[in-house]
Amino acid sequence: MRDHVRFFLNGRQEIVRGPAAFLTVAEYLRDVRGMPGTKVVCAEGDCGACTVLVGRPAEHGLRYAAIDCCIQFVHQIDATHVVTVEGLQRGEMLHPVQQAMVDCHGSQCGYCTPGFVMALADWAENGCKREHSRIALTGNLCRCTGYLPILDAADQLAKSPPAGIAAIVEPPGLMQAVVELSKDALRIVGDGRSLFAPTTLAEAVAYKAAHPGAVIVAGATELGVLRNKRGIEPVELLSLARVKELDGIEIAADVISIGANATFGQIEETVLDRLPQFRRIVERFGSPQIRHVATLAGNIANGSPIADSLPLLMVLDAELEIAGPGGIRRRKINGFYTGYKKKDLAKDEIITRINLPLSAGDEMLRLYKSSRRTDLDIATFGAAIRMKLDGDTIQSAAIAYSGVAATVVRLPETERFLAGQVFERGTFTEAGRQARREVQPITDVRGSADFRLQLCENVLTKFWFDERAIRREAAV
Amino acid sequence: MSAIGQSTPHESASEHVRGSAAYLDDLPPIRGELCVDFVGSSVAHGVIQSIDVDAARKAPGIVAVFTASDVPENMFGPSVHDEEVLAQQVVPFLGYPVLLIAGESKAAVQQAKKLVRVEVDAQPAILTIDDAVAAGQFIGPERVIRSGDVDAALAQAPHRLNGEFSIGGQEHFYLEAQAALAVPHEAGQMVVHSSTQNPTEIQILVARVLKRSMAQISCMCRRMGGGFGGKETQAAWPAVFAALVAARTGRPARCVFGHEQDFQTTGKRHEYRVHYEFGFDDVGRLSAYRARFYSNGGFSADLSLAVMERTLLHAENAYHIPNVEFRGRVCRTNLPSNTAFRGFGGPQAVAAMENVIEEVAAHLGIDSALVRRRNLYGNEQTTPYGQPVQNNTLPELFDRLVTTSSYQVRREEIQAFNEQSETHLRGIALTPVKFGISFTRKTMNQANALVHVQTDGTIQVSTGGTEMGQGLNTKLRQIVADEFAVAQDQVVILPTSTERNHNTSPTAASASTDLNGTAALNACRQIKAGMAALLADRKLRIAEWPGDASYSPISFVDAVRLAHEERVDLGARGFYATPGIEFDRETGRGTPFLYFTNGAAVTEVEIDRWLGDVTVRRVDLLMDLGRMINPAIDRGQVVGGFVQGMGWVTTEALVYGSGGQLLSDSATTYKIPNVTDVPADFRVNFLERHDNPVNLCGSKAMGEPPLLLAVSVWAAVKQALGSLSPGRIPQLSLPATNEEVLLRLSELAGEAAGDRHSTNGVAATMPQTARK
Repeated sequence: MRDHVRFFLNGRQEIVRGPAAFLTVAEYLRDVRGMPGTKVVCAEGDCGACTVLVGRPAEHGLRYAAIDCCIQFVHQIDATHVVTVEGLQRGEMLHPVQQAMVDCHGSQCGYCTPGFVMALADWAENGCKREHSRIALTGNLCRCTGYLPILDAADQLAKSPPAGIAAIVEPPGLMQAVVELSKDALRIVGDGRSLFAPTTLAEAVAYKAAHPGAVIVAGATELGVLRNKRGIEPVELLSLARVKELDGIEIAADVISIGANATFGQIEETVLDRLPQFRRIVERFGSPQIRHVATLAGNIANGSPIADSLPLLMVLDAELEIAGPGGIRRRKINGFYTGYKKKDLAKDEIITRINLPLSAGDEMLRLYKSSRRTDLDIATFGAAIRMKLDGDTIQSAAIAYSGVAATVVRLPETERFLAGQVFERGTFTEAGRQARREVQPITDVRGSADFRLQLCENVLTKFWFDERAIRREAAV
Repeated sequence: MSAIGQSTPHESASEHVRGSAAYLDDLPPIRGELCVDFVGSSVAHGVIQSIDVDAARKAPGIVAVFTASDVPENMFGPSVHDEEVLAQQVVPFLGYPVLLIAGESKAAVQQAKKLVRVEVDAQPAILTIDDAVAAGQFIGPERVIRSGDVDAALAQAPHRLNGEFSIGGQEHFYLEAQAALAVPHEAGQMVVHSSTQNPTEIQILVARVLKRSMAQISCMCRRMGGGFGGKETQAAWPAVFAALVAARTGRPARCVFGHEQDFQTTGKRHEYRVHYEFGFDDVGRLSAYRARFYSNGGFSADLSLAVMERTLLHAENAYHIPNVEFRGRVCRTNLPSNTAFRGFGGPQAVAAMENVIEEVAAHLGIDSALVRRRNLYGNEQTTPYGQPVQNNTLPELFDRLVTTSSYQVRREEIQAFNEQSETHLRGIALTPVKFGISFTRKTMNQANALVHVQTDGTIQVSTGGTEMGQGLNTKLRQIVADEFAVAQDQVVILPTSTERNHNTSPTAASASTDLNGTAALNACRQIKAGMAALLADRKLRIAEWPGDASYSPISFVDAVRLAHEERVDLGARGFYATPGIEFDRETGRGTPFLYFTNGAAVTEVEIDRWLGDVTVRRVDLLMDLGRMINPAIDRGQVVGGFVQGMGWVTTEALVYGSGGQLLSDSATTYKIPNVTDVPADFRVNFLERHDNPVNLCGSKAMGEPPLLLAVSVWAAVKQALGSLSPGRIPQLSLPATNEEVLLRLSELAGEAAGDRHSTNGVAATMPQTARK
């Protein structure tokens, strides 16, 4: 059990004790270490100005991934190698990513530039695939350049991809040191706050039972925002990051089982071919920086009425595994939410695993998201529609909407209406009207009630057109 | 090789990418430095009943708390002094600063803020243009520009239409928030480091508020993390806050706004409401256009009258309309004071004009590009305010772009697409721009520059121009390097300081390279004249300079050393005042601009009929920027300006709550364009071999004009909606968010089907457009 944080910063070991472990990484860099190259703009993971790379042990050495360090706490980067914009160059020589940004006029005011440099470095780390450059940069906002020169820089890099970060910035022995550190349990106390990161589930369950007020920290993409924006900071934190049994994703013939520690990034890599529709939603779920740390379990535990993953989980009727003092219980996600961010989860319970039953190959499954901006935006409305046909007749339908009530909801009456109807446009027009009657959305900053009602109605017709196009293609 | 015309990277590019370019909050702390923050009003309009700061004063780490009575001169403001540094009695908008807290750390100040109690007796607030018009709440007089006889022309016109058009505001969203650091010095002197486009104004305002002389106050700015007009006047608050604390405590003080705080308390691009009527003939030739512009000015004057003036000066955009009447009024509301934003009233004017064009085309069922071409300014025609349109490249730009963008073919393809597609609608629009270059206030069209040639042959340059990413410093370096025929890296541009350059104008109105560059050139030429006289006397010449070939060549650095040895002045201060400009705002006539920057854009959009999402499929831009000093920087301004404008007309919606609170106050709720919003097919070109004989190096200003080209995105959306019900003119407010588009689509579909169940009126939070 370690009582302090150890990590590497641009190749050198850092030891952080006490209250500083509860700072954000951005605060630690700027205010404690006097390294102002990393900028903080939105302080909520929506602009990427604070992007740094974090290297964690993986199969072949450390694997580096971009994160938003303004919503990441110092204790979360224990046993990692953090690379900041100051750590990329070698002497006076710019890193190829930096050089490409200079060559292609990728900076104007320069304030977002360190973030873009690090996001590009992350993209380069993943193979410099030209077709992925836009998706790789969705987490970074620039107000000056209109992005084209930055995409030019990506194109230049794609022509001669640089060596990996590890080869450029990792001193010998660092990787082994990080691996060793990652085996330690952590118990850190400072200024009335505490963090416990055990290595077994049993310890975690026992701790949660003894400290029912403890808040579980996973990616902290919600906790970081709450702290920065509303000054809300839990005094007791429980991290499951070191509990190996909660890592990983298992794929069987008809079910995908996702551990509580699995990030959206890992899910994206693993389940792509099994749930292709999920990919675009995962991409739109958040930026690479967010997906690298945010977990599906966290999204479920937070239970936002506009959570991007929940409509899908509901139409698939996902199963949650929940550990408590009495052992593991399993329950379906439908009915799990009882009110705004209220759920059937006791204070001494922990979500440990999510089991996604896979739909049969002949089923239709589509996900929709409406947001003011396509990428890196919170949904105004989201939908998952799953349907099984028997010839031209709809055998069964499952529909879940987000952004229309205090929780993500299923639409049982519309589902009942659809069952037995002919798969034709008129059916979906009528179903849309039915759906409109079944929900009562509110007006807020992301959209009016009228807009949401119209989306509730239209998305069913859109589904019909999308499926018809597929069926026509198949027929050809 | 001349440095002019080179695509030299931004002078700070290698610092930007290393993270070593320092912005205000990156400056290392100074010993004893205090952190300053303010507590704002909790209501949009009210009278302060009591302020209780006892607990905050006693909180750990708190050094001082100041209220209005602690401010030596509490009234200030950029144009007229109609703002209070801290609210004395009346709070005029939600979040208005009421008191300052200075402490040893950010954390201490944040804790102390929670202990402050401010009681305000809430009064009714005016938030919208409609409410202000109804209440007769205006700032300044009505301004008018007119020519011809609109009533007579309307009466004779074969077709006439009228309407109302709502145009939303825009948050600057500079990534670096407003910030300042004040450092007290002896004898009442103070240096204020500010992230400002206008160091001289910061100097003036700090001197005023502290009741000190201007000579005691200096302002410095190395760079800004974006400005876009938002730091032309509104950098003042953090600067005077920090200065006040520094003056009262004798300690350095830094004030850095939080981003939500910045969103909530600083002004934005003005929201507009336009009432218009126009007359035209069967082929779409406009004979009359009358527009009455109302802008939402916020609580104080700031630059709103000048912004409205530029609206009226751009209300006809690129079209010669024989009979026009443009009236503008600024509404006073209980919102932060709206301010300069790239385009400065021009974008709203152009949006209103292009809306009219789309309506002419929709009404007649003809191509809107045809309507535009028929009304485009020819050479030597005169604007409504009496300035001849000279050296006009609009027709050439227009015709070339029609060809290079394959406009006709694509328009036909789009028509065919719209006829068969049940899921998407497409639209295409070509809009031109003619943007007047010069400050409309004559005084501001001046600049000075200091050039110091060092004895090692390197050169220091400083001007009053500030660097906010636009590349001013890079171009200054090119201009000076070219003039002395030295390498660009021999020239260093110094941080902007009122100690080197005084009485300067803000870096604004696209004209900073024109003004400061010409002043720098003037200084260089003074130094060169001294050196040249000496060299001629010695029968010497600098190899790279023109001169008598029979003289012996020497290097620049040897010539410099010789000049110093022989007591020839190697420093100079240059000055420039834009010639030939004059405008009488009372009569609305004159020649306010040195020249016009022209361009045109073709944009194709696709609308998802069922979700309302708008995708920009392709953009073709063509601009005439004369002889470009730095083509890469100019291209950056054009692309960046266009994308920023695209945000304004599509996703950037400012949403207010009923109490006047800005709900879209962060990156999470206010959506500027993301990399995936940039059209996959984006072509940017420039007219070649063009010259601008009246300006520096034959170049043209380009900071603002490309933003106005983004009106083509909005116009294409309006046109796409029109394809749903030919002959009917679709209504569309700006911005065309997915919500606005979807609700308009349902309106059109509902009306077509005689079925109105799905049109329950538009959202309470969104501006409505109603047709008279």
